[in-house]
Amino acid sequence: MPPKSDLPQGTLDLLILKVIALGPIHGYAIAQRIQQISRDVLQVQQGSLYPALHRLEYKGFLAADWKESDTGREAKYYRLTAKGRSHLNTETADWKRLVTAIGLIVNFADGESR
Amino acid sequence: MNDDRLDRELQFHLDQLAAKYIKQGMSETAARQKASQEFGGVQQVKEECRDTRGTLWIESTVQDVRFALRTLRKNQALTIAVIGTLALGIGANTAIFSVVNGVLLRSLPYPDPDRLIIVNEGTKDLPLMSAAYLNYLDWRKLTRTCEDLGAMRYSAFTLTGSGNTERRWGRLASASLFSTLRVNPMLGRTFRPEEDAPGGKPVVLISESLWTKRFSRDNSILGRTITLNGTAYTVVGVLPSSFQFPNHWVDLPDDIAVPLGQDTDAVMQDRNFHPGITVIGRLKPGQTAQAAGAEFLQIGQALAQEYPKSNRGHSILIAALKDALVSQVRSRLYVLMGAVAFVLLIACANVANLMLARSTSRQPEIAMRIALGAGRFRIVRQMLTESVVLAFAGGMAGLLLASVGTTILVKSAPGVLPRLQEIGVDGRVLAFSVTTSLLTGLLFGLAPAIRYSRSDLRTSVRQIISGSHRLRDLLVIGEVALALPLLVAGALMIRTIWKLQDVNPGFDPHNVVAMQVSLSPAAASTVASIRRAYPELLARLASLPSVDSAAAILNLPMDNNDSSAPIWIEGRPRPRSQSDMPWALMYPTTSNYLSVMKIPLIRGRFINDHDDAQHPSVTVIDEVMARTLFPNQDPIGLRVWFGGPDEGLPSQIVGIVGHVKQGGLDDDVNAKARAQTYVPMVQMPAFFLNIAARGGTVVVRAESNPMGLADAARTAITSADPGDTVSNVRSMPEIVSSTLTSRRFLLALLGTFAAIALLLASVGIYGVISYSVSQRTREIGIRMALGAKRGDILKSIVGQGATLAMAGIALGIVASFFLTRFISSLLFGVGSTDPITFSGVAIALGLVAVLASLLPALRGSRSDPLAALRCE
Repeated sequence: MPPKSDLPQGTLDLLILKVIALGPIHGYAIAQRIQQISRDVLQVQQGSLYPALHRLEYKGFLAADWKESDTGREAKYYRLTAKGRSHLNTETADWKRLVTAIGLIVNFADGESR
Repeated sequence: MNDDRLDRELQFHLDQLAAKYIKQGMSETAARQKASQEFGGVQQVKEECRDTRGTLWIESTVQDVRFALRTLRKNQALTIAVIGTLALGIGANTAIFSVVNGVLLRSLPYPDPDRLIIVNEGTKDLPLMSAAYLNYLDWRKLTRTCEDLGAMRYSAFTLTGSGNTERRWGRLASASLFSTLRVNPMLGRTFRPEEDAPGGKPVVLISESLWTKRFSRDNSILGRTITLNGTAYTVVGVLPSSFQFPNHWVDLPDDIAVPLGQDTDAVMQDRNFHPGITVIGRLKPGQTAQAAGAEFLQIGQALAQEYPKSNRGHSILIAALKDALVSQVRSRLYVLMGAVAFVLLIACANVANLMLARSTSRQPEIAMRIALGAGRFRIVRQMLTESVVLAFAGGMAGLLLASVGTTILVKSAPGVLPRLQEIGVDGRVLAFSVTTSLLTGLLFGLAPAIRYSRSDLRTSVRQIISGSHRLRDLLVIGEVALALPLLVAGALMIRTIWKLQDVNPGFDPHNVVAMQVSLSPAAASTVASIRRAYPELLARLASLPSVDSAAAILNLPMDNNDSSAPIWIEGRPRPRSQSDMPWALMYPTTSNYLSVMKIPLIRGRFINDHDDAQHPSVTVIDEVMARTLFPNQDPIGLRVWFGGPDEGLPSQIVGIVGHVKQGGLDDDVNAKARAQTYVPMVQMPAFFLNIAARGGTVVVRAESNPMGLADAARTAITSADPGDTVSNVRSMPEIVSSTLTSRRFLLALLGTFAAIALLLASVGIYGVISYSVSQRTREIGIRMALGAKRGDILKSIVGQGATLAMAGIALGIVASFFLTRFISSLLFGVGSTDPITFSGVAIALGLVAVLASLLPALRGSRSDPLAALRCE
């Protein structure tokens, strides 16, 4: 089992938006999906998801409706708003740029040491 | 409702998670446990979710306030103590601020008040004097920066007909004064320009209060005549009580105004005389006082060229009217504002101390709330809400105290503060006390709030207690350090007053009574009748059984009222202008004055009954004049000319007497014109005699109990001539003492603040020590069980209080050293860093600190060691 690491600051929002971009989804499913995607590498206390969801909703990136879930119980389904989608795009672009840059630096440093 | 949804959302998550584990074969209990572990603290999540929403802020504030009120109600003793302390602090600050607001901050009660200026003249010896009437007329013609100028002069009036003979104060006012101030009468009109000139129709404006008191607000007053000083005047208007003539002091309510220009007295037509005329100007829109100053400089130069004898060396001084009215009290009010701010800081420290004491008992509650998921910020906010709620309650109570305090201040301040009628609670005062309350709440609430928020279950209670102990010690040290400068200031003021009371005024005021007398119109009608009237009146007074002697003088020393004249000593170079001459105070008086006042005769003789109109004029000078103007010469036998050579009045010096402190017990050394001369009233020109007839002062020396003969004296004067009026009867010691009124007023306030500061600081020490004793009960028990003597315990506890006090006193002495310079101008005969005062106050404060810690120490040392040991 790979070692677990903490989630870098700010990336939780990005992950949530990314997951919700695939279609309306409730909090529990989001948590499961994030764990799946990150192959359990990222250790997130599932509760900490909710303040983030509420913050994103308050900012207008997400909208929510109460709908019946597969189990038949009512659940709060989140979906991406137009504003949320454009936010996701810019954030993703930024993230990619950052990752590329960090990757370059790490590679470069490795090359030096060799 | 929002909370309900949040609950359902989180519950759904937990249920799903548990369901997943049950499916994997776990028991329901184990599955639930694992789910909740994976989820984290539900309460904390809820709290954080709530915090993401701005709208909840209001909701939780309401919650906080409600919670605060509940907590405070549960803890009534503490709440009352805190609110009481704050009410004292905020109340005192609000009261002083409402005075500062009314006197310094508020605009003058005239339309466009910022455009009003005051115009004075000055010479090098008399830096500020009133205007000459003819100069005023020229200024008015020449000015381009002012829309208009108005002039006025104080006067007393004897009001006769339709009722009692009354003496009323009022003004001689130019017609332009009312338009310059933009005053509208409530009834009728103000003066017409043609009435403000010699030979104009005698018209009068009366005040609303006179109209009410004497004429029962009768609308038919317009056109009726009233008799003033024996002349019939037609009432043309009534001035509303909302209007006040610009006043430095409000001792004298103005009830009557007559046109200034009708006064045909010689002094009005002579530029050498400056008969108390105040000139007010209204700047044109866009003009500044500086521009007016520059313009009047030129006008002054032009007039000096035209009238060199009277005007050369005179400058014209322009000041904003408001500045001129309040400049004398500004620095004093700032001193009071600073002192009262110290009181508030001390109150804050005391309240912070009380709140910290409570923090120990509330520690478990807070720790529990944090464990249950309350955010740190939320706890701080809750604590601050409590403090602010307390501060506002204190502020409300303070506002009540302030309105009482302000009323007392205003009642005790006549002669001390100008613009008293404008002092009161307005929007700005309310804003001040609300802001002060808010800041106060934050100030005393912050320390405990931060302390609370740091605590959690892991921090042991003991740690917190010791931490809060340190903070409480610091607060007490701070309180003592803040109280000391106030006590020093109070002590310095007390010593000042003592010193001043020992000052010899230059005469013996005991058993002397002074009264203002104005002669009946018949007696005042001619120069000869005035000359006759006074000696007759004095003879009647002297024949009263308990009267020793009686005399008359034009204006009494120490009564904010003097007349001075430039003098030329015969045989010395002739002056080119009035401002080349030295000035001396001039007291027209009767022959008995010296013996009534017991002023020492140094050489020669005083005025006697032979110095009458038929004999050559004589004068008696004081020792200051002898010393300064005749340093190497015997002045007796020399002649001086009052008003200068040529048009002046030559008088032979016949004697030298002691100096009298004209300006009061304190200000004499600063007075520019200190030289004094006495001249026989009967030898004075008509101008002075007319003033004496309108309102001279009679002084009577009684064998004992001078005020007891006031009625007899009044009867003796009015029975011979019912038209004479007697007013303003005061004992001479009272007049002397009134020169200290302003300092006494400051002393009373500083003393009150110092007393509050002392009380609060000693309560602070008492609180800290008794708290520490209660914490140390066990330790004390052990020490006593091990054989420590009661005295040792006592010593160690009192020593703790004394140590705190010493630290505070040391800091306070350093602070006082820097702060007392701000009151140095108010001190007399004692330095602002007087070592005796400093050490005396330090010792007194130290003793109070020891006393305050002695009470809890006694309680602690009396405790039974066994009981003490058992108590933990």
